[in-house]
Amino acid sequence: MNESTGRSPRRQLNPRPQATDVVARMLAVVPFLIDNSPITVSEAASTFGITENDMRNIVRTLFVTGIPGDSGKGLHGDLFDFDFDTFEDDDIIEMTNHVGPAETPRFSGREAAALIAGLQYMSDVVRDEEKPSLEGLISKIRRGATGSPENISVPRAPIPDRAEPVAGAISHDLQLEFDYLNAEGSLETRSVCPIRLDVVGNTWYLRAYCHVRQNMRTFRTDRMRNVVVSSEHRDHPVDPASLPDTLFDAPATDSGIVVTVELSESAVSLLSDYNAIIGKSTRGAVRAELTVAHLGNLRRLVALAPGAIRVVSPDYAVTEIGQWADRGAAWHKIDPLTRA
Amino acid sequence: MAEEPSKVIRQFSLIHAMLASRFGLTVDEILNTVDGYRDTFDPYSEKSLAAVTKSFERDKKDVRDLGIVIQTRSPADASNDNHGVRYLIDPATYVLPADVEFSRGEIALLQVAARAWQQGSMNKEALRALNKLRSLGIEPDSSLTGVRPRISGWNGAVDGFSEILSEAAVAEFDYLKPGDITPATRHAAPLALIDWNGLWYLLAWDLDRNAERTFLISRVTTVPRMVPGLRHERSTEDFASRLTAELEELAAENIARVRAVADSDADFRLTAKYGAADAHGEICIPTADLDLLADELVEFGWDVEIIAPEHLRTLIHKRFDVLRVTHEGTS
Repeated sequence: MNESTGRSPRRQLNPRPQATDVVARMLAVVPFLIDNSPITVSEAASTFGITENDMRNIVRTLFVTGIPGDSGKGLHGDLFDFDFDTFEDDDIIEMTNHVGPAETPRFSGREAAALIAGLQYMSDVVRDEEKPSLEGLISKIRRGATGSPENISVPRAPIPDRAEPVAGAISHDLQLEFDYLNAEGSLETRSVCPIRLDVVGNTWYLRAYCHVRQNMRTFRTDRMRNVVVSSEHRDHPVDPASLPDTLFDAPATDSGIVVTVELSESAVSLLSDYNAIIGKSTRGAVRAELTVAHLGNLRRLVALAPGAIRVVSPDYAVTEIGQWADRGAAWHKIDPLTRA
Repeated sequence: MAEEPSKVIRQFSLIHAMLASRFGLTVDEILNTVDGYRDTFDPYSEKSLAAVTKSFERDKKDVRDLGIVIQTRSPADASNDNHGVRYLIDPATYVLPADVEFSRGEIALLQVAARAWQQGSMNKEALRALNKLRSLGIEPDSSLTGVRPRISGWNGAVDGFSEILSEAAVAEFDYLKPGDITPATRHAAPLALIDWNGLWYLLAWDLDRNAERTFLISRVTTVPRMVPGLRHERSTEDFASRLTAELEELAAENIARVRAVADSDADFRLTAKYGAADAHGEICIPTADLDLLADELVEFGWDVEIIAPEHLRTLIHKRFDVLRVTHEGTS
């Protein structure tokens, strides 16, 4: 160890080669095709969330692979085989011969770790009676893995009291009303059609159609009070899966403030929820442009990493942040017990 | 398949050849019979033999990284070289055990769990697991579409540590201890990675200090690099659970007390997270790390007052000072 201290290790971590990813996918697709043949290319592709062309390529690759026969050449019984005409003419996969196991492969230790950590993290989200036993499910994943899951863990995100009725409204298809503290600090009553509950880290967000604003809005559940589940059924059939993961939709340009911030490269991930346009890096620093609804949001952003994120323009925003910081510094200088 | 066979065909065929062979295949047999090797292999050329043997070694590692167990059988008269070694994959260790079956509800839950990983290598692992679940052909029941949990903060540093963790190797990285001005280079063998209260922590064996240390990932200032040729064997302990328990204990012993202006953002959010204020109007906040709590409280400005400890107030004051200095000069 001592010899290598102070020297820069040469080996950088390499991402796994891409061919192996394709192999992993093929190993999962094959048992499905064996089980479900004949099946249309489009149905098989949509099961695995890949393009029809990717699925056709898998079949074409399988056409030419098999296990070595005695002669060293692929003999008929040692190959994957399909009905060629149905495949070429009708886009249907009909397997006529296969080699190797017909069952799904086991999980690797890391795959099992990803599933188990994900399950533990979301264990509070699914509180319904129908929820399958998590303990049982986790032990099944362990038994179905070739290696022991790694020491990677994400403890559960506890569901806050205020989010519980929200989750209930979504699963019972009902509307919601609540008082909401907006970013400017004023309380308003909102009536919404809830679509999806997003948990990011340990913050819970409601994605909902707001009847007051007549648009999709994101609400933090910790800014809600007096949450009441209405007896009215939901009236905006938005598919929850269609919502983007970006939480804060850029406000319309006429109402938002376009700001430029400068930050170190290592802090760029802090902008991931802001729909920011990230510029090129110069000497480890990058500039990013984003639209905020009001300056309150901008304070929150710079407070994430004091010193690492600096507002560059517009001037009045820079001034505002400077004055806010000045007042904050003065406030936290004084022991509150000595304050009159 | 007359043209240059791709790596995909080679690795896929290799796996199937090892699965089909009851007694295992020697390297010679693999090079001479498996698609992708036999087509490029010229047994009369030393150079070709070396190249093809090298790609076999790499493929073997890739296959093992997929979680596939390759067994080796040495001949009775084993000499030192690998010459007579036979390689095989036991189908029983390759496929899911027969008693591992999933209900439609479980599949739905597992799909949401897998999608919680948004970034980096764990996202890749989760997607692979997801494909295996899809391969079972079980239609998920869709009752869970109204929730979308996402694991946050998985960045390049966590990714690097997770890779080094699975290799049981040693990481070199720069770490900025709170209060220090410049980061210091550290060497440590990762033991566990946990996401606690929305932040990633690394438990590791610190080789320079010969002791276990906990690192906060957001204070790691470089992408960790694997120290070549150095391995650190770990015991099979559940380090992740131990670290979680330790952090929870630390937080329970260190309580900060703050006041929030009624009906302010601070009031709403701090009471939602830490519970209602006590009879003195004070919110009690358990904390494992005052610097982290200071980071969390800055955005509330003068809507919070720090009652105790005094050091927390100093830390917040310093943060505002930095913000003030970086934003003056244009007015």
